[in-house]
Amino acid sequence: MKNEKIYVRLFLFAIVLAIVLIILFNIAKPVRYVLAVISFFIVFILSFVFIYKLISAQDTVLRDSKKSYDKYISFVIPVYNEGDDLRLCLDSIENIEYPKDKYEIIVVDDGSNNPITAQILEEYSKKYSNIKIIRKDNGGAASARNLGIINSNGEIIITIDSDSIIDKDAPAKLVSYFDDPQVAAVTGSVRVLNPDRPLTKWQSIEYDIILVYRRILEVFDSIYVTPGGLSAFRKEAIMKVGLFDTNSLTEDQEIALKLQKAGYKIMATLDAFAYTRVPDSLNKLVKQRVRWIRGGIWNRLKHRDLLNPKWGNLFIFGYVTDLIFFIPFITFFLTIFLFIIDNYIWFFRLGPEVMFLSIDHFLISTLVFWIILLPWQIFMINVLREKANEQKVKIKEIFDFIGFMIIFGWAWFLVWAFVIYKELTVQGNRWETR
Amino acid sequence: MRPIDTLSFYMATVIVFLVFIAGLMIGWVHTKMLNDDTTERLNDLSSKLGLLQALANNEEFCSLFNYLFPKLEESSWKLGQRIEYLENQNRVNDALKNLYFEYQYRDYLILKTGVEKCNISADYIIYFYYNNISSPCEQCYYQGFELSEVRSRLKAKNKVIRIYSFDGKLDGLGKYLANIYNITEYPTIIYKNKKLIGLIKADVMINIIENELQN
Repeated sequence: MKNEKIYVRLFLFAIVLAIVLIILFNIAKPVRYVLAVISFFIVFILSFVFIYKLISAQDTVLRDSKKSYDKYISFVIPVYNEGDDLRLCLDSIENIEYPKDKYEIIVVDDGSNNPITAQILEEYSKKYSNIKIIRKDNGGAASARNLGIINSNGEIIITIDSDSIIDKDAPAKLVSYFDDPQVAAVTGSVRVLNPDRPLTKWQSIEYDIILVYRRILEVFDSIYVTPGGLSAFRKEAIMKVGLFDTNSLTEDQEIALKLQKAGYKIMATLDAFAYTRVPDSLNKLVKQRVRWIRGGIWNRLKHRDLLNPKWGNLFIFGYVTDLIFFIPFITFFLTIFLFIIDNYIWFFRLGPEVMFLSIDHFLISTLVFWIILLPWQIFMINVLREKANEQKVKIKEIFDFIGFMIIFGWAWFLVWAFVIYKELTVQGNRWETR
Repeated sequence: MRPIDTLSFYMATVIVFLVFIAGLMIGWVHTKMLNDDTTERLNDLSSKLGLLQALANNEEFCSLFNYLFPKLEESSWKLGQRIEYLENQNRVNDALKNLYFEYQYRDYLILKTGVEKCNISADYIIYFYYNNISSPCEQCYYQGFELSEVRSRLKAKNKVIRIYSFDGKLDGLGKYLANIYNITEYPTIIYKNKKLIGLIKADVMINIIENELQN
């Protein structure tokens, strides 16, 4: 771990050094232009790879899940200082369409010091006979999940966050995929429970889009995250690869990489829904995303043997893409930001005419792609809404999409700044937990 | 050994490349249209300036000069700003630049005629810069902003100063004038027989101009 920590710090230090050198040698303009063109190609080639795959394999990507009720399920829910959301979560599981004698619920209290949590758990364990409570000292979600899995009786483990609500038919849909003995995990379709303000609406768009992307990744046999919000695992497989990594910041990604490396299949659903509460303030959101990015970097360092073309599509999508995608994302918006700054000075000399004059080939190409990507994103959301029996995207929602594409994209600046700060300042060599 | 779906990547790369090329072409057409439009406007101004030139020996010259010249100055300044913006993005062609320099030189000659014949006072700056992609003149870029600032601040005080800019390294009138004024370093400002070399801040330039006016 010590070496990996040094690599991460060296990598981030190199980024900071590069920025300083660019400023010092006054080469921001050419560097910005080169980065912009590279970023442009990376972002749009990847986007079109997904668009092309969806078109060429649409029957597979858009298929409905079957339902199966023959396997015994253990729901494993790690809990830490949870309140009323836990009630909603447990009630939703108790109301699923699945034979009562074919599932159990294991709630692992990860050292909660909130009396309400204990009270709810006691109440529910008395109310429902299939709820098992395990208490342990605080050690993070991964350790709680592991303890739950070890103490479970199910052939299939469904992990769900304590602030999520599961749809009635989701478990049967998830279980159906395990008829194939090669399948070790199935990702659920986690959507946003609280899309009531711009920040959560943008996350809702993002979550829905990710679900379609993940289904396309399934066609590429390259799913590299089994979200903690809702995923199902074959117990035998998860035990074989050594359970969740308690040191990882994003253990739900780390387990997927392990399963892929062990030769198992990971499938994705588009219609096995769970609804989860997402951060409703910028502060919470940045904190969450910093953890995701840092976790992603560390997982890739741990599984750096995946950086080899012998892993096929997994090498591209599970490793290269995920790492390089953040770079164009930042430079892309940085370029637009610097473009505005450049032209803002001219605005005072030329007035509004500068808007017309500043249209160059790069801006036109970018605009064309945004125009293509907007309906593509709306299409993906509509796919999800159709599966969830919801109304299609309305005209007034277009502003949410534009906000998502422009404002939400900018947030990555902030997130990466925090990532760099965190990695450079965290003391010691321990893996940081939540 | 797991497979890589190269076909998807090839297809996506071809599509993105085509759209990028399409963007380049549209951008190129847009730039050409901007150059053509600017040339047309410059020709329009040029014909008005030609009228003043033709009437230089006529008794009506001064009244027409006092009426038309300030308007031409304002229009040509705006056009000059546009050309400077496009020039900084390397999107202006040399023919247009030369046309603009020729226009400015004719404007300068008319101004001198006006000063002689109509007994008016007029202040002007001749500014030499260059614009080269391989070895850009950073200070010239900023000098353009400083001179723009000088003009607007003096205008706020009801003082009009004309700024004639020339690319001293561009074959044509710019290079010719740079030789006449013996320009070897850039940026250089010629003001009242003073040669000011290097980046001159707006405050400094305004001080120089105001001191000259007081003298």
